[in-house]
Amino acid sequence: MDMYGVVYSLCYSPCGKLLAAGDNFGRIFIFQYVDALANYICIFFCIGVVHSGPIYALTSTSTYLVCGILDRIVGYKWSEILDKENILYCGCGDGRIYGYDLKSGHNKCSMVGHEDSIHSIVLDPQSKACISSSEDGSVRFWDNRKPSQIAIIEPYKHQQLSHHGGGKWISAMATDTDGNWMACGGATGLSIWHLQSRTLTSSCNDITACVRDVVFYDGNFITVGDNHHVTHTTINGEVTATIPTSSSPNFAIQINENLNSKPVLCTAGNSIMIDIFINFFYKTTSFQCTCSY
Amino acid sequence: MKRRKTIKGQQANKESSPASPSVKIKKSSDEVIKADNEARENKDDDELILQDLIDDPSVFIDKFNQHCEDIKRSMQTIKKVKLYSAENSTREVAKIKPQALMSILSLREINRISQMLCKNAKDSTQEAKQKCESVQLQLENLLYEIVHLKEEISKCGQFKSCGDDITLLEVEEFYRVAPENISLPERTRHDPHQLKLAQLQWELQEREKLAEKCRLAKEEKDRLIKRIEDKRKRIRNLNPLLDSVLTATRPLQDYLSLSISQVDSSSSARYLPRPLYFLFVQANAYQEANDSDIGVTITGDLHKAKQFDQNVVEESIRRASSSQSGQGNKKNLELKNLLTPHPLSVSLRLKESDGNSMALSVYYYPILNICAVKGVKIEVSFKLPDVSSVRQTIEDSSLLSCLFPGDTGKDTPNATNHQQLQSLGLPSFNQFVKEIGNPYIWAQSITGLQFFSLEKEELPMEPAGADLLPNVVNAILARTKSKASLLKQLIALENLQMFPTNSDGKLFPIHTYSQIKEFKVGTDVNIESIKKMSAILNKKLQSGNTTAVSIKFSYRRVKLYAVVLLEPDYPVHPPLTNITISSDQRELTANINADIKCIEAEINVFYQELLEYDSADFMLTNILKRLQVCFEICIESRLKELRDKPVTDLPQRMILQSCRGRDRVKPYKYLENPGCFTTRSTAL
Repeated sequence: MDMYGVVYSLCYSPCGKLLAAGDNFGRIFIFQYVDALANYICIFFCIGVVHSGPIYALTSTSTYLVCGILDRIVGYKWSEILDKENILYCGCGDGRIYGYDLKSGHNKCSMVGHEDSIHSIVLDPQSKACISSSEDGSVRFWDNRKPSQIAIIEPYKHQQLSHHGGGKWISAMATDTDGNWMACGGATGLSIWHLQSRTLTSSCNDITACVRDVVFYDGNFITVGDNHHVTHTTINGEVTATIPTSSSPNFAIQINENLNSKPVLCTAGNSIMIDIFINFFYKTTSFQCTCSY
Repeated sequence: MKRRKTIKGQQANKESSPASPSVKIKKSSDEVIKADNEARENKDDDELILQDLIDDPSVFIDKFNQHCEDIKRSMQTIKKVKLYSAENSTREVAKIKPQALMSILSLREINRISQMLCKNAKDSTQEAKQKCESVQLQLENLLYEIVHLKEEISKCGQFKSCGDDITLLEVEEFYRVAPENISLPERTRHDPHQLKLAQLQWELQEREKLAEKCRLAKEEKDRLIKRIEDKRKRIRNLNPLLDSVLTATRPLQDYLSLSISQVDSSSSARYLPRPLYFLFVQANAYQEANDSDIGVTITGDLHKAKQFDQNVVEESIRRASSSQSGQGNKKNLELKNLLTPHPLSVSLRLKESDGNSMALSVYYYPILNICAVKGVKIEVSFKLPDVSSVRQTIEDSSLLSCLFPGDTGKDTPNATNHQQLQSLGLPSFNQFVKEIGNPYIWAQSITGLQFFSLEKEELPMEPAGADLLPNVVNAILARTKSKASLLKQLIALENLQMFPTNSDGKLFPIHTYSQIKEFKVGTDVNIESIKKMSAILNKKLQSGNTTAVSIKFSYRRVKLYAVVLLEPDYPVHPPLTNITISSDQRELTANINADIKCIEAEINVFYQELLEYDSADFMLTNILKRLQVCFEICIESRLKELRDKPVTDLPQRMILQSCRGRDRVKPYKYLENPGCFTTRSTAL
């Protein structure tokens, strides 16, 4: 089983001291990683076979660790993000976005438009709009209050974007902290868009592999994808650094800024290894998601 | 002051005497009362004077002297007056007299005071003396107590503790062994007394434990001795009974033409060595009892066996152990002796219900004192192709390897053999296995040989006894069946076809679109290519027990190369598969591609599903079938992705959801009922 473990999702606890990882066998691994980094030993905190299906998404609220799993009855897959009004937005495998009130668990709204399953959702930090990306190749902007579609962009239709991956899916998005720029990653590589005008500003053709996950940090978009590397890209689309990782491809990247000390970056993907970067430019250590401790 | 008053009073009395009595008396009584009051008022003053006097006796003496002087002077004056002036002497005397009387009164007073003082002094002295005496007494008591305590201490000091005779653990050892709550290191580290106490405490606890253990062991021993005695008695009683049963059943045996009693009298069985005889009798009995298809024959040169003297064997054992400095020639002879089996052997032929049978011979090595299995052969009921690499799997000596977990038959179960070989300067037993056969542990058990193993006993059976042989026979039959079934599958695959199984149409769609291009078995498989791929496969290969099978699928210019490693006890342990997909000189493996990893996981992790409709014997075929389907799905979805327009030349499949999740897993699972493909919904 250890040979075939794939870590789909990563998430930090609100206190910033724990790291949760969800894998394809429905297990959630919690690492007490701050202590672990101090000693360079992985302290394995707890393990639970929580669900029977793969855990595709993890996010944490102030009190809950929310797992996006495979709902066997409806056949959805979820990726979700939490906004400040305590509403959990889930992008599902049937191409809809559902908003749930976390306290009551009731469905607040649903947004219809995507033609295929949704890969990721982010909230626009300025306009509080919800942005979603999908297997159908489109990125759509939604008004949270109405709820209705505001705009749509389709990166795969732009000629300047490379089509090396095949297909048109967009698997990851990230916005910068001011809400000016957005990065889309997927089969079309990495492209950077101006949020207000929703126009393509730069494409990053140096990244030749499909992009699976993107985060924004300190003026750079940091991506992982179908190769052995973590890639740092500026808003202009220039690659500034590539750092090797132990898995290939990588499916998840997370930065922990809740710690008082330096932020910590971690990546995970097509193996049971989770790579930890204290300095963003070289790998510090790796954790293993395995029961054989 | 008092004195003044007294004088005043006297004066008053003196004055009042010549006056008229009635008034004067009244007046004097007033005076007296007044004086009394004054005296009472001034009692404190008296006390004070007294105190002064006590404080300063010199004043007292002065007063005394002064008054004495006064009296003396008064007396002399009176004397002078009486001598020299007789006429007015009375008047003069009367004049001086009160003064003298006053002084006398004062003297009396002083006398009284002195008496009082004297008494006071006596009292206080008495008091002080008493105090002193009590303190003295106390002191004496304390001194006595000190002496007593000193005696006690010296007694304690000389106390002979029996703890000195007890052998205790070394301090470091003690801290290592004893639990914290006894050793209390923070208290005992610096206090040797506490340390000693803790050590004694620990020793006591340990000894109590050991005593209890000893008692239990003794009880157990007594119980066992009693049981053994009982059993012996029963067996002794059984003998005549058995004899009578045998004689009684002889007519019945004759009638049923059974040969139970004849076995003993058969000529060659008499010359079998003891272990083989044990097996022979057991196998015959099993055959008689179960009416099963098991053939037992004795093979070998009977004439030689007659000459094979037990004494010779013992002789050579003795020589083998003492010939450490023998010449090379002698050593060779010893080795030859060592590896010579008993001339007779027992051959078994076991036939399972499908008509396939397994043949094997059991040899006994008297000097090594082990039994080994040789000449294992499987005979199948179907026709084997004349030239086929599949043949090597049935001639392999590993046919019966790992019949029970861990029983590889590559090392001797008799630990003394190592010593015997070492004395001949031969380090390992392994090199002779080919020559003498495989000394499986079960082969020792069914021949009644027992050895103590250094490791834990791994066979899940009784160490010896009648129900052991059935276990072994059943295991061999099951092995025969699965090997025969594997052979059928391999032959089909060698002809580039899949053997039909019950799972067709249930776990996999009936139609396949890819072709099998190549199939290899055993030594033909290109092992070098696997070695690079996976550390686990590599490790399994090096253990040397596995059989490798390789297959190549081809679908739309893409090739899939899979290597399946079959364990010797296949299908008890599922096979392990490694795949490589190559197209246009690009090779992808699970390490770098999530899709391939997912396919491998489908096969290697979720193999349990394959047992739903078929017995485990067909696992290899089912695995390859699933691999084929996954491969087709993978290629088709990739092609769909690469083309912008909908594709028409691909086979029509019902797919619920084209991909799912971060790694965009393809729908590898086939659902029989709607006949559609879906992504896996349960993890395990």
